[in-house]
Amino acid sequence: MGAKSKGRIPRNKKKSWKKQVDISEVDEYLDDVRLQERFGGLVSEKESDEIFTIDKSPDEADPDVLLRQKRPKRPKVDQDNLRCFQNLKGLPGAKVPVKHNYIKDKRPDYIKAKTNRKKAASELLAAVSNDIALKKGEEKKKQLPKDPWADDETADPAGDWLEPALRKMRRCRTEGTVRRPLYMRVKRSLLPAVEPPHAGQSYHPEAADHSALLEEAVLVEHKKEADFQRWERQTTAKFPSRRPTEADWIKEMSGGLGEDEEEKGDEEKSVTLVKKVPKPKTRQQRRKMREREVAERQRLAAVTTRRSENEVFRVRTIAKELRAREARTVERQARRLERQCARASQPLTLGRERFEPTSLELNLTEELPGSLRNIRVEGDPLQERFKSLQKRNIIEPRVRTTQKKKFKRKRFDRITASDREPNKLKTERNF
Amino acid sequence: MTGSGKMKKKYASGEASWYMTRKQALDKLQVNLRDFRRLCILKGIYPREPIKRTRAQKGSTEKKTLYYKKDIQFLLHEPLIWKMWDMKARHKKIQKSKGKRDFEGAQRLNKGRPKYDLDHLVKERYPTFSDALNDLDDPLSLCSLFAIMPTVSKLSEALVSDCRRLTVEFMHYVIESRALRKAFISIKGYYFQAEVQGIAVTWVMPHHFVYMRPENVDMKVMAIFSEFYTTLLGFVNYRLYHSLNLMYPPKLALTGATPTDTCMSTRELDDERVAALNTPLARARLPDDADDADDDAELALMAAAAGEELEEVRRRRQRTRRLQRLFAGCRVFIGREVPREPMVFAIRALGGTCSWDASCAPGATYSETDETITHQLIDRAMPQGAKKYTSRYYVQPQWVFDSVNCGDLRPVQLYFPGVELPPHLSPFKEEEVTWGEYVPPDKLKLLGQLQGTEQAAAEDGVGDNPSSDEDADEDQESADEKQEDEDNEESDGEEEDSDGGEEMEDESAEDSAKAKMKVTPGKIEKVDDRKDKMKESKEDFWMRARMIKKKDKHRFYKLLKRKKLMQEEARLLTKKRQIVEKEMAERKRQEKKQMKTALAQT
Repeated sequence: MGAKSKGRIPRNKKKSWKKQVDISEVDEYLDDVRLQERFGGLVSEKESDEIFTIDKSPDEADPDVLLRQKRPKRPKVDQDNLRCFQNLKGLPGAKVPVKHNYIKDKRPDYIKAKTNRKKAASELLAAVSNDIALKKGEEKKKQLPKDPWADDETADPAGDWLEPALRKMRRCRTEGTVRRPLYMRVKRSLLPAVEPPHAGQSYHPEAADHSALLEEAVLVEHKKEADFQRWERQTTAKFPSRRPTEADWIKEMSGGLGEDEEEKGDEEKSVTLVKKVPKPKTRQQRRKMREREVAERQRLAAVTTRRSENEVFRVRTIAKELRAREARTVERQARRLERQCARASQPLTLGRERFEPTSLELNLTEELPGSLRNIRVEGDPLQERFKSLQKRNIIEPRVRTTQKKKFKRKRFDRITASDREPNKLKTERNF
Repeated sequence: MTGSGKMKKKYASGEASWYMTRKQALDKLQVNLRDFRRLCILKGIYPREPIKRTRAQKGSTEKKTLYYKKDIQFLLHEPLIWKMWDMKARHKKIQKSKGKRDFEGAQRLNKGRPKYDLDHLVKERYPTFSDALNDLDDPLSLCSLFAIMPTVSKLSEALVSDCRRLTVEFMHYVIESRALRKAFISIKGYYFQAEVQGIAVTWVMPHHFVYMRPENVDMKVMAIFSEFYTTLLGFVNYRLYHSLNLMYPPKLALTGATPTDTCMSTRELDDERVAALNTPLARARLPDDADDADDDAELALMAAAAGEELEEVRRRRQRTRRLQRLFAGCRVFIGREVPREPMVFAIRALGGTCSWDASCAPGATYSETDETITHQLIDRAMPQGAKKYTSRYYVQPQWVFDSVNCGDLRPVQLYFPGVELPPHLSPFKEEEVTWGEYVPPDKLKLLGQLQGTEQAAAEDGVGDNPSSDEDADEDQESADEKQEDEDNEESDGEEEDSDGGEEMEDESAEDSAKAKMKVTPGKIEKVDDRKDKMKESKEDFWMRARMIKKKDKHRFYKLLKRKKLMQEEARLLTKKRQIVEKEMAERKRQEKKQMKTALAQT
């Protein structure tokens, strides 16, 4: 209580002011000013030209890698005996004060054995269980790739004369694998993995190439437009979008009602038409029919026998027919082959969805950059890769299906005043 | 045999029994769709299109995804599927322990998840190394695309860094073996073609801009593909490096300065330097220069194998040799506004050296102030007050790519900064079948160089149409005429001889008999293969022409006529050009003379 705090100073007297106020800063400032005046004037009043100079030469950046210049060798630091860690190692000569005091296990031996057995079993279990893979992985050091084609040149010389079955057995024993079916080596498509770019897709194309590309793009657009028009014609145009009104409905339902009375006379005539019912056949008729059938069969049999007997004389004709048939087969085979070849260079139908190519990447004439720096990148490389895989029948075209989680909304009625007063209407509020 | 034997069941044999729908396959393999898709991609098993769908689907007309039954049976033997079953079981356990709120246990289970490797699949899918090389386009393109992907949560960081490392390694191989053949800047990306052990490998390197992922691409599928491709590329790179005695993983031959930057560790900096592609790699043994010598026997073998002329093959090899040393002696400095990686790759792959500003990226070898720099790539106006060096050419980056495709250093004045650039032609453009119409020599030269037939073009003088028969025919005609003339002369001589013989016979039979007995040195019959071949091909051509149907015949002759007209026009125009050029040369000479006389007078 007695000591005066710094905040409370008597301010009514000059003396206390002189005593308490700290003027060291002012003194310092004035000293500094005097000093500056002694050495050529105040800095704050000077022009910036007098104090600063403009550095016109750039800092020379050192190259990163010095060709043919080895790094100077540094003396190797002994990491184990760093001076800074010497304290941790203890003083030389002093021994580590370790106190051995084992607690003797006083349990009987059979119990000890039992617990040991349990412990071992549990350890084994742990080893066998899930962590085994992890441990194996840790044990395996990171290895450099081995060359799978190392024995390409030194192929098995014994393979040629070995029996196929024996060879197979040997392979299964040595490799332990089933051979890949040979047909899998046939490529799925004749299309190249990386399609060479159109010359007009150069970042700075020649005029002719560029116009050729534009022409191609225009053709594609025309086709799209034509397709669209066709769909319009076949769908929208055929089914007018105007919904039938009630008036339409009445009109349609009452169609022909008014005309009924006028055309009554015609209808009466048509009603008189009655379908004829055939008379049942008599027994005689049936017999005769049967006889006719038998005779016809006999006649046909005779004809076939005669024909087969006469076939000897038809040798030439038959040969001709055979030749014609053979020629047709050859032709059809060729056509089939052609069709298969054509299939190999276009996307197949591998699923529900059809392959849809990406649009042609191009720069319009006004978009062409003058230099590489201003290049305008078109198309997406990842999408192109993806589409290329689809086009080459390696993966099937799919539409991404995103499953939306549908939570069933809980509905409950809030007990309101209306519940208590059953005469009032219930209102569902909780939507 | 009707009536006896079992009744045949429908769809029990034939096409119906070859296929399996995807659902059936899933049931058989006991995996879910995600695992199945992974398995198929890794194993190289693809859906099939049946010949007749209704038959293959046992009467159903719906379009289902079908697989070969044999493929699915083959999948059953795959060790990968065992791993997948293990994983499935593990996943169930994890879910169970999570359900019991035993998170520690779940974590432990998650840690020890079975892992699979794809090493055995590489040999299985590509039994020989050349198979793998033939299929390298896809892996390279996809990996160089993944290399620039941002590491988002769906994409593992390891995969992206692997892709980056492997593509860089491959590019290093191309640099060391000088295998680059074609390069093209397209709006879609940089296209490169290298010849790796005689096989052309083409790949796309995307432009390095901010990457936006497209929406309608299944990223999971692409990640599976790149997973397999990284494995494949690792093996391929290993073998390629060893074929050149390079160390694998790549090590730089030169030692770098210690890192001044504290933000990068030494290891990271080393990786960055390797990725900079700018320093040669360490070799286990220096290469011997034995393959520099032209081996004629080998060339002849190659020509025979390809069914081409020996001269043609030799010329092509010479061109390749020239290309491999294209930028030898060029010291290029790359401005910071120029895309670095493709430029460094193209320049270094053809024997040049390059550098950039050290503050730009690690791996720079010399600074801009180096007086020995011969070319500086620049793609914007020089900043005001920047020092220009007279000892080097300032060119736009297109110069590098055009030079690669030309097989020759393009004139630098066409590519000075601010100059309107010549068009960047595609080296992948197929040879056009021309009608022999007139092509101006400047364009011809460019095209000829692109196709490596500049010499042929220069010889022909008119149009270069190596594929057209007509030119050859004309040559043949002239050759044939000559031959016929010679034949006539020879036969005349023979006749004379025989005439003389008859006279002698009249005079004395004995003498003639003696004369006949005389042994005369036989003439070696010259067999001119080329002439015969040409004659044969001409005959073949007209034989083929006879096979044309009557209704098409007039069109064929119309085409021939048009061709002839074109050629005539081309001939005239070439002649005209020759005359004009001659006149210009004459005028120049006159002017020079006048100047000289004027100088002498003064």
